[in-house]
Amino acid sequence: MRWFGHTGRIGWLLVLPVALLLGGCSAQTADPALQQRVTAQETRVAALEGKVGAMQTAVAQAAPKPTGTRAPTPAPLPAVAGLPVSGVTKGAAGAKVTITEYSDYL
Amino acid sequence: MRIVFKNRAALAQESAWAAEAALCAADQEKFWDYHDALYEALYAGNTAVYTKDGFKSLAATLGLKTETFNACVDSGKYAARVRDEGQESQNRGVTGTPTFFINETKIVGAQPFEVFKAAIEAELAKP
Repeated sequence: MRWFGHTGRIGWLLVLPVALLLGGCSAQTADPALQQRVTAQETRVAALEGKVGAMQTAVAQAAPKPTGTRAPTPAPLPAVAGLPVSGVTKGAAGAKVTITEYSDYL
Repeated sequence: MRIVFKNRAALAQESAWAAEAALCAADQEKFWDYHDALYEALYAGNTAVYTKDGFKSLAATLGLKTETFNACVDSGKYAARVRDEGQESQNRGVTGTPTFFINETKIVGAQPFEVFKAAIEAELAKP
């Protein structure tokens, strides 16, 4: 059967590459050297993850803990006593030293 | 020694109102009581004081004649003075508060007592 034979030759031309391709894929997953490399990499990743976890623990332990209380705002010093007061001034007009304060109430 | 308080009401409108209120208290010779009470309220976080009604309540608490005080605050009697003192501070190179002048020696910020003591003694030592 010429027709069958013709088809057969074409069929083999298609089957062979497919067979080779499938064989190659199988070879890859079955390659022990490759599998060994993959396993080694997985082991390294696991080891690194362990190190990161250990470092995170160390950082958490070293970090200062909040005390829960806030340092109070320093209170103003007691007002100067004994100086005569006039309006916004304390002390004598002819004093040798004048302290002028420019300030904001906020 | 003489101590003079001047306003550099630059931070907010409430700064100017507080400054004017304190000067209204000065009319009744209660400036320093009012000045101290304002800062005590600030340190205590009592921001309710820093409104016109708050200033009036504070005056009542300190025993000021409230009718006189309230009229003074409402009229804006000391608004120009507060602005003028702010301009004066600017002319003297004040850029932050508090700023002190020991005669003409400038001290910026709430420095330790020793800094003021040294500056005062230096001025007293001058002929």
